[in-house]
Amino acid sequence: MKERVSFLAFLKNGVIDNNPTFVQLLGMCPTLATSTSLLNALGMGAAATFVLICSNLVISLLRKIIPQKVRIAAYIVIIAGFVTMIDLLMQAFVPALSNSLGLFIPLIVVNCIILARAESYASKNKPLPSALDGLTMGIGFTLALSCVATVREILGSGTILGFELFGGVAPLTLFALPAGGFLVLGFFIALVQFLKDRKGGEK
Amino acid sequence: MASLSKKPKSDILRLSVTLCLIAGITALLVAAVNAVTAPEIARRGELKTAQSLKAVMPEADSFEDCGYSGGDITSADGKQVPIDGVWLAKSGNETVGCCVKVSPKGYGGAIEIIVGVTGDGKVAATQIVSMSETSGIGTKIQNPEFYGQFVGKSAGIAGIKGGTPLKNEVQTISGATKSSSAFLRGVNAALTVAESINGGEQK
Amino acid sequence: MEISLGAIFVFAINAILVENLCLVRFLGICPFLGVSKKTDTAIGMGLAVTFIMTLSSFITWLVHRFILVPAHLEYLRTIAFILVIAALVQFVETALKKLVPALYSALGIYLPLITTNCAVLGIAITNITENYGLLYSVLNGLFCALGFTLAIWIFSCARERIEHSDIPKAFQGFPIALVTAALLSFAFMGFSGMEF
Repeated sequence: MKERVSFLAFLKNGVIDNNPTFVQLLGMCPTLATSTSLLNALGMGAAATFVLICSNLVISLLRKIIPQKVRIAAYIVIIAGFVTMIDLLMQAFVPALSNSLGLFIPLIVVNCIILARAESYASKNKPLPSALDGLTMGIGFTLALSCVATVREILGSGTILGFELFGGVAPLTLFALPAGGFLVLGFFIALVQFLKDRKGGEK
Repeated sequence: MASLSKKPKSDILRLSVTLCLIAGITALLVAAVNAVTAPEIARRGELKTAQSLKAVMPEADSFEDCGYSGGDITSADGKQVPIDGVWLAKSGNETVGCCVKVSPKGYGGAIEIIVGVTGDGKVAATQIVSMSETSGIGTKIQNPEFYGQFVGKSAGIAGIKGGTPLKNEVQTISGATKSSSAFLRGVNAALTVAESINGGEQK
Repeated sequence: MEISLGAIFVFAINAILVENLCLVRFLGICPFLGVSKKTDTAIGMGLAVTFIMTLSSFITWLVHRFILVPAHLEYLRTIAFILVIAALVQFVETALKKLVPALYSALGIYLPLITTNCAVLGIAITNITENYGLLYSVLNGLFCALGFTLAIWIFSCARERIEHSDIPKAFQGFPIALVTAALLSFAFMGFSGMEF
């Protein structure tokens, strides 16, 4: 009963209070590298969410079997397994997306969000809440990634999801380049800190 | 005493057995996914190649793999351009030209291009099979204003950065020099290969 | 690829400046932002990464060529490589502790962090997808890591100065670091005009 009630609480935790990207500052590499277009961001978010849910679920199921001493190695193997699966599935069924994400799909293995959730949540909690935690953290990651990607795609390429927006007006290419990635992410985190500060001040 | 000295050993054994089991099961699961996806990936690849071949040589009704084994082509600026395949384009029994698949290295890795070359050594059309160039910048090589320039040009095309292109010159894309010159290298390499094939065919 | 000093020099410039690991390719951003508050720690991390990345490029290439390819298990690449890297880091840590305690005390604390450094795995995979031979794989690992060291060192110098500046509250800490990184990345973009 309690678990059903708390889905919203989970969602709020994953998306707002403990957003993996904007608040916990984890998983910076994929956030920067795959946010040049919204489509890439959504693809990356979906892939990472899939891995998060599966690895959290399995690690939680095995939490009493995996020996404490080699737990990190075991987690990495499990995560790498799921990453390889999603990599192969994407190559087979969405080759264009798989191509544009390239190297960053196998690199989900070393995305700190996934290992962090495995270590700090899934290894201590029951399977169902762990899977839920994976799902909500994944949503939080995807939303953060999409925010950055929306700004970068509109400013950097003048398009959104590939549709032309400004009818031929030259876009600010800078935002599609690596430098723009750092800049946009920096301003987003500053905004989050500003909002958090103001909220704290009101109390 | 005996049990004391034995304990760490059995501990290590237990650790490694658990870890190996996890790794083994993961590998098996991945193998299962691979068994499903591998044929699909191969099928999609072949389909994509077949479609691209048709797109660059619409007048041909069959394509015959030449089994090219001449290795990489070194471009004018000393870079290696890998040749992935060469096909003779046939309309009925008559050879109307050939298609060359090249993969020059762009900004985000190899750009796979199929170039259709007419019997007299001119570019008929080009088609990008896959690439992972920066969205909004390197992807400009997909614009007809860029790749359209190559149609009708013959071996030894030169790239210029500004001004009006002369007879066998094309304009590279400012801001995407690396991607557009990779494309240029690829087309030139394809023309070089086509020359040797077409030449051999006439004799 | 040809093996000559000239070609290797061009390769080095390309890996260190033109395609800088952190600032252009977005690999290894976590340590780049995480351990760059002080110059000494930044250099320590850079050197530790250089050491591991060169070694892991060597070993993963061999594993791929002589184990995965003959057994037709290329699709297990990601799993195999991450295990090799984790084991290698563990082994180097133990070996350094016993054999070269001085080096261990300098680099030791950074070593465990390297397993989850995406640059190490990223370069190992790139070596395979780019079809590099053994020599170029090792060189790629070495030069890319040197590029990482250069970037993190410059970045840490800038951050030490920012520490004492008066910046808006919302930007303190992480955001200003990202903006600094953006400017640095902007500077490195200048190198991309170099065509060899």
